[in-house]
Amino acid sequence: MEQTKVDYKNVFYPPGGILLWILILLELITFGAALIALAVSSREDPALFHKSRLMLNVVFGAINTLFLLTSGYFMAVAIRSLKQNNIKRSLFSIKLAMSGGLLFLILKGIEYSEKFSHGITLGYNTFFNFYWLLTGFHVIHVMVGLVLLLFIYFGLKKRKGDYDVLDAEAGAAFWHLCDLIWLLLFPMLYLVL
Amino acid sequence: MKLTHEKIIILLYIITLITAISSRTVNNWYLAALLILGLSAVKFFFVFFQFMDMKHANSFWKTLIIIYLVAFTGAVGIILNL
Repeated sequence: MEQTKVDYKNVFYPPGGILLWILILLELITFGAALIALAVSSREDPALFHKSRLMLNVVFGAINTLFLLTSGYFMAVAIRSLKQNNIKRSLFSIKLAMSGGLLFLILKGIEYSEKFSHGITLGYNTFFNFYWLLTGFHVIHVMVGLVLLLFIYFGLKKRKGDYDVLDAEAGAAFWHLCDLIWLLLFPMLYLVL
Repeated sequence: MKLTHEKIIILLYIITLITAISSRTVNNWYLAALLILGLSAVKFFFVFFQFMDMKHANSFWKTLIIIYLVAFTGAVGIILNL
């Protein structure tokens, strides 16, 4: 196992790498600004936003939160195992992390198809415009994250002896970004308004 | 107390359940919204701190994320008149 020694206390070397952290911050600022715009819009017509929010399935949202958190947990375990040179456990944990992501996408697909069947599409009202755009962009992030995890999984499987843990750490940081975004989206869209 | 991934995931499950239940059971909307936003910020910080291993990072990154969280929840709180 190739173990590059990194001094994480150095401001230029956060876990996952500085470039990825710049991306993470930009993503968080973008989603944060969109959610603030959602809150501002909700002040213009609170009744519509409240009524629309009640049309969302909180149970689906909560279960999806659990799927993503569990997936993030397994990814963290995978990185810990990789640092301990336990590749077998790391591979297994990455598989579980990917399963969590897939389950999230399946449940989101069911939720989307329910909305479609009731004619609630983009343009239905302002709240659902925010809903489709925010959750849609988040779903794209989850899909990209899953592709990254696949690359890490097969890379690790193929090059068992010389895999740089930093590459896996960067992929894991992106995967956790999906968690972080969802942890802002879920309360704002499903619970608060 | 040493925080491990296992302890944190259990804590995150509990917080998620509390937020989901309180949105439908707490009658006072202001209290429910404050509780939900506050607990969500806590969950966000735990994922950042523990799962992303940022507890080992330079304090610059931790400060940046705390500023982001305070600014975001503060802005939402002000806009929603909490």
